[in-house]
Amino acid sequence: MLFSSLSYLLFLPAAVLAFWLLPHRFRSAVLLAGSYFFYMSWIPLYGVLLFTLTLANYLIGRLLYGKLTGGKKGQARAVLTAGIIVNLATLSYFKYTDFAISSWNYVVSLLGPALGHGLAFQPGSLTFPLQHVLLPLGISFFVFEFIHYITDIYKGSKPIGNFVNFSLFAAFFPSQIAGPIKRYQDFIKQLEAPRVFSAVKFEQGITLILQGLFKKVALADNLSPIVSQGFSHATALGGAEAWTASLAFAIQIYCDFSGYTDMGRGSAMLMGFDLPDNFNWPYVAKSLTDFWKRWHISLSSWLRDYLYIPLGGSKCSTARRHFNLLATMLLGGLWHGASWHFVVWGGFHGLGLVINHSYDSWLKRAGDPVSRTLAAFHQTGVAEVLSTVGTFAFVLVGWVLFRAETMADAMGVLRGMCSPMLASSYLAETIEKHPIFAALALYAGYRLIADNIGRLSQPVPQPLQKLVRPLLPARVVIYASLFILALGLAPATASPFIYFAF
Amino acid sequence: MPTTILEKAASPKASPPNQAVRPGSPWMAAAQALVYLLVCIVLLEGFFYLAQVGDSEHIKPDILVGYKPFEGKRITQRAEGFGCFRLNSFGMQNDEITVEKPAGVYRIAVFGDSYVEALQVPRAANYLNLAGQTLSERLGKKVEVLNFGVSNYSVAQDYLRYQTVARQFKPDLVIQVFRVEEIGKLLPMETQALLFVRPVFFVGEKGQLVYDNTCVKQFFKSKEGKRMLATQWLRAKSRIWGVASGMIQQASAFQSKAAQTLFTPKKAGPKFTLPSDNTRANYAKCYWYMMDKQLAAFKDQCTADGTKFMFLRTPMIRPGMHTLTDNETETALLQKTAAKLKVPVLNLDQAYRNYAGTADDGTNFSDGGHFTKKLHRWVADSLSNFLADFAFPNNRQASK
Repeated sequence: MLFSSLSYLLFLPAAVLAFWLLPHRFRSAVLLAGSYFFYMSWIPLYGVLLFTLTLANYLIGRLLYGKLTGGKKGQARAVLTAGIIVNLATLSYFKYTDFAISSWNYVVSLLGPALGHGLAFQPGSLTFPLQHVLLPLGISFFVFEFIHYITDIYKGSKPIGNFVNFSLFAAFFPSQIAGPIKRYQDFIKQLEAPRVFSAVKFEQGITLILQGLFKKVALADNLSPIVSQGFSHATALGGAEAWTASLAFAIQIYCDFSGYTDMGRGSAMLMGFDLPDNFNWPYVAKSLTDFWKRWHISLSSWLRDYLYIPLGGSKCSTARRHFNLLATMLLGGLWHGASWHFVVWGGFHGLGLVINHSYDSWLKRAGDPVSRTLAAFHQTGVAEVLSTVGTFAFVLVGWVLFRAETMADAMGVLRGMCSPMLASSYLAETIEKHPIFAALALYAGYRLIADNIGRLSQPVPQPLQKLVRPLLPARVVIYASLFILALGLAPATASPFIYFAF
Repeated sequence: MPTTILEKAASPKASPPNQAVRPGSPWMAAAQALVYLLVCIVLLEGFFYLAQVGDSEHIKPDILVGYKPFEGKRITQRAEGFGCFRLNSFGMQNDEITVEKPAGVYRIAVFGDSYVEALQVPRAANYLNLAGQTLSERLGKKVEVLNFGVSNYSVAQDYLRYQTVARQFKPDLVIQVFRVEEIGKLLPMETQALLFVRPVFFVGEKGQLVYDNTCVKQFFKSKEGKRMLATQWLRAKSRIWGVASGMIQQASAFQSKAAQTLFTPKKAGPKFTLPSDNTRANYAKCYWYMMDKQLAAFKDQCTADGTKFMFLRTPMIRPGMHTLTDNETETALLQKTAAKLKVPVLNLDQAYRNYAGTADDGTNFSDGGHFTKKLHRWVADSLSNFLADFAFPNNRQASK
């Protein structure tokens, strides 16, 4: 049930209606039932996995809290370690089994002939068949939420007493499949608070859903075939095509993921919940550090709190800090998918962050004329523009590593980006088939007006403003028009959300 | 934090909560909603026009022919390739033409289905225009190739289209195009899908053609037919309607799928498979006499009008869809008819298989089985080579 599908458009109003019509004490249970229905509409059996993992983490949380309140810190630490292992083992089995097997088989195929002469057995017998384990949707997200939950209990937070509420924390359908990765303290506080229907929040939710729908179906889904076409000819692309394909992917992945997040946040708002935002204009970041504060915020803050800081964070030697950064980003890359190109992508960003941090430290510490001049230059507008362009270029190269299916393909696209701007031959027809320029122009216009509405409306006299400000029926007309607009630009076939694969 | 226009309009910062949901006077609210509705309609229509969205529907019901293209409507096709063109004022996938044939112009009228209509490529890239250009250049005289193709038309509908539209243009040559599956269009079929609403010609006791449009009349009386007729203006003019009807179609497909899943118990039963090649061949041979009669009548009409007549067999490949067997059966039958009627046949299906091999999996065909630009070029070259000899024998003698 994709957020942009017709079935979700039927499911959501039913869930929202049931939520508001029922008394407060039944709402969590109904929402939980709805969330399991939503999740099990993909593969029913995985509902059992979600439930089992939820139950296990609930019990681990209780046990952990019991040990801590009993003053048994050592035992609590053992329970925490066991809890993290259970979660990571589950994630690893479903996500990384085939990756590990194929990597092992590859190493054997490389080393086997060399070692085979001196061995009493055939190296081929050391290889294993792939298991073809189907990845349960959202597992990477809810496993991270569970780890956060038990770790925070160990750090001193109180566990969730009500099992239904705890189950809902993991299963809440607006954030179940691809985040945002929630923090339980905030979510449970909202869940337990008396909920009063707010028309303003409801409308904000509808607006966010429409905005997300537009980003997904009009932008991301129209870019998807262009990207696929480009990357399937990765090694044969000319300059213009390689740039087109990589830029298209940069926009696609942003619109796809932030569109999903908008729809998820909007859906939650219809029921009065606030989910954390995941994006804050990532492509205008002025440095790589800045980029990671703006892109997939809930994941980067999770990685910071539950990986980077436990590893030692920045309060250690320079070499150790750099190691921590690299390790965090390599694992962050691997979290995205069981493939080496994700690891390379993570390493690439890790390396970029190490350089970024080193440069910042040098600027602060050096104090020589060169660093002082550079520090002064960084305060200018030109430097800001250059930093933004440079950061985007770095991120774009990273996206090529992320999207390409093999390193050879990634190198092909990157080589293409450095070659002459020849006329397009692979992409022209695909671009022509999709109204992507119209959608991009419309979205750019919308953002321009939306972000400047205050300034634009200033010169308009107050009485006219009052007359023009849409009342509810007019707003309904606008929402309906936006819905038609988004679906009008949608291609015939919808693409699944990119982050569903993670 | 609100980030969108409407969020800001509705946010507590922009206005106090009670103001954001203020009811206002009901009359004021209704009037304002009406104004907003009109503005939204104008903006959406304008945007969809510029974005070339919402104008994929191109046919309307017609009591005589079953259905026919809208006259003068702009069509955008994105499903297989990309094409955006305006049908001319006669409802043809053609540039505007005059009824009067200009002096010195040789007119070729081509009849067939979507393979002739060629909505999947730009108009300039379809084989009719390419062949017209090639012949004009080669012969040093203007050759106009008129496109009378309409999606899913049968030979009966082509014959009617000749009589009602094409005849007035006084073509010098009529080309009836065949591909596989023509046989399936010979018999009447009750349907709610406009693309399948067609009259048929039966063969009477004395061998004469008997026109029967019962199925068309039934469609006109049906719920879907009435809906189509009632909304014809919107279908012709409104792009919002085009988008909305696409959404409705998706919704009803979803509804029927859901109903099927929920209310129809799953039971094991025989799986539907296409009839065997032998059955299909027997079916084609059995009903071909109807085709024979229609083609004979079409040819006689053309001859009476002083117009040459020929058949063009274009290639068609749909992997796993019996097309090779069907093609061979129908081609053999068509060649028999052609010999009987003394009408030339250009068999490009066979030529294509010689060119691409019988194992070809449809490389030069689009996802939906239509011609790609490359195949249009190949058909155009083959056709113009043939026509240079067939339609202009004097020219050949002169060049010898």
